[in-house]
Amino acid sequence: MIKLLNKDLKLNMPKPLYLFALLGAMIIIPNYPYIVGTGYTIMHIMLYLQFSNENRSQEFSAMLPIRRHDIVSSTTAVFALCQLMNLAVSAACAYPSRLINPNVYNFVGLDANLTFFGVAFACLGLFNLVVIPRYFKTGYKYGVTLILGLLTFVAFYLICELPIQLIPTLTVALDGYDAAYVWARLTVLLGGVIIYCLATYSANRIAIKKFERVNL
Amino acid sequence: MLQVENLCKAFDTFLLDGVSFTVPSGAIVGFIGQNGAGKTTTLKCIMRSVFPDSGRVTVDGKDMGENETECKKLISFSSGTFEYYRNKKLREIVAAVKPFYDNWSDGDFNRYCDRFNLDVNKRVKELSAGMKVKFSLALAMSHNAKVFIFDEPTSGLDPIARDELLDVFRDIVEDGDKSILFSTHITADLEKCADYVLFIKDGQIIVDSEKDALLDNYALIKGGADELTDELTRRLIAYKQHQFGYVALIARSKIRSTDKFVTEKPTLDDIMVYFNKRGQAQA
Repeated sequence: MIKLLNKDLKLNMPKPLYLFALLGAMIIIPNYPYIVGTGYTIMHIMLYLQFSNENRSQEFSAMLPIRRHDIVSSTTAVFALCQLMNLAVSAACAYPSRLINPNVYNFVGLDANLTFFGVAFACLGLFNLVVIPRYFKTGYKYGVTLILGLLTFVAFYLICELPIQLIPTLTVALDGYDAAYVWARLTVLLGGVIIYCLATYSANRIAIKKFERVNL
Repeated sequence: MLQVENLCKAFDTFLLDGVSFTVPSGAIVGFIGQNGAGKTTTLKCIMRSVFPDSGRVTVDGKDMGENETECKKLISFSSGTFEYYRNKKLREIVAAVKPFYDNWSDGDFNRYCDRFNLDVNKRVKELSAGMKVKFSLALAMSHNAKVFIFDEPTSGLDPIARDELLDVFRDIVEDGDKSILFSTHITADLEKCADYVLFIKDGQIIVDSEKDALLDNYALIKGGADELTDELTRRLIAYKQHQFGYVALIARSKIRSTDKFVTEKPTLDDIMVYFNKRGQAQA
């Protein structure tokens, strides 16, 4: 699978596409909905799938000495790589964000804290759960699939964000940087990471079953 | 070397129906049939890029379904022209592909590049149709496979390049432990180099024979319009009538000493055309 991932990255991912990861740095913009920066991973993934389709990459991969499910696992790994690179850049910029933002608190969304990263992980995990299995029903159709994935991503973010903004107790505990509630924010982060891992793993397993008998 | 048993695949409008054949070591097997007859579907089923509904493929005694990775290392597949990664340079594609093969030989690849005049610094989109075929073949022939499967490798090649390619085919099988299965529309290619001929029609193999035996076992006959009796037509594979008489294909075993028609040795084109006209027949 590593050889296939290497091949897919070399042949389907033009180097400028890696710049999408830098959009995770949008977290340093004062008073900005930081999830937008995370959302750019969806465009990154869309362009990857577009290149993959144009290159007829899966058809080519199927002729190589690999197991068919490696094609799915390699694509899942590319999804995860795009997302984790973006979040890593966001994480690296989170502290500078606090220094740059004169108001400290973000007026238009979650602050750049552990809660934000937990929610972002969960949103991306659910995005993967919707997109990866649906994409591998055919192995090439991604338009409607990505729209559904994007809607899931946005809807889940709003479901998480609205209670935090509207319920004062949650606002105090989960938004902002109050050291007294770091455990609460850490819990959200761990929950988000667990959701991401489970959802992405499940997405890969379901997609493998769907793709097993797809004709290329 | 390659054994295909009872391969079936149903689509909405097409059925690959119980395809069985063997590609022996040291042999070149030509796979012919008209467009849509099932050649590419059969080859894709062998490679499992189309998943067969039933049937079994074995390579060097190993079951493809159970040992897909191992079997694919023994197979070299080229789908005719190379229409992948159009914006990539050939050397980038080679660098990404060769780690998959334990027996990849840079020496062989460079030798085929020299032989085919391939410039690895060119991008796929810069290659002519013929050069794409050659690149596809150079990739396929550089990892020391045992079975070579080519889907219409001579399409898009000029006559000189085709002849050169057929020479390469003969070189490949020369040592006796490799074999080639290739599909084509150009029966002249088969006449030059194939040892066996497979003919598929409407998803069924209707001829599976040694090429020389096939050519020896059938005759093209010609006669006047009044000589085409009901009794004769029952013995024919198929016939065509024209203004002055008829032309037909017949199995030599069905020719009688009393027959007065003119006989000629058929070409593979003749055999393909008349079998196609008749449909299901015994070879």
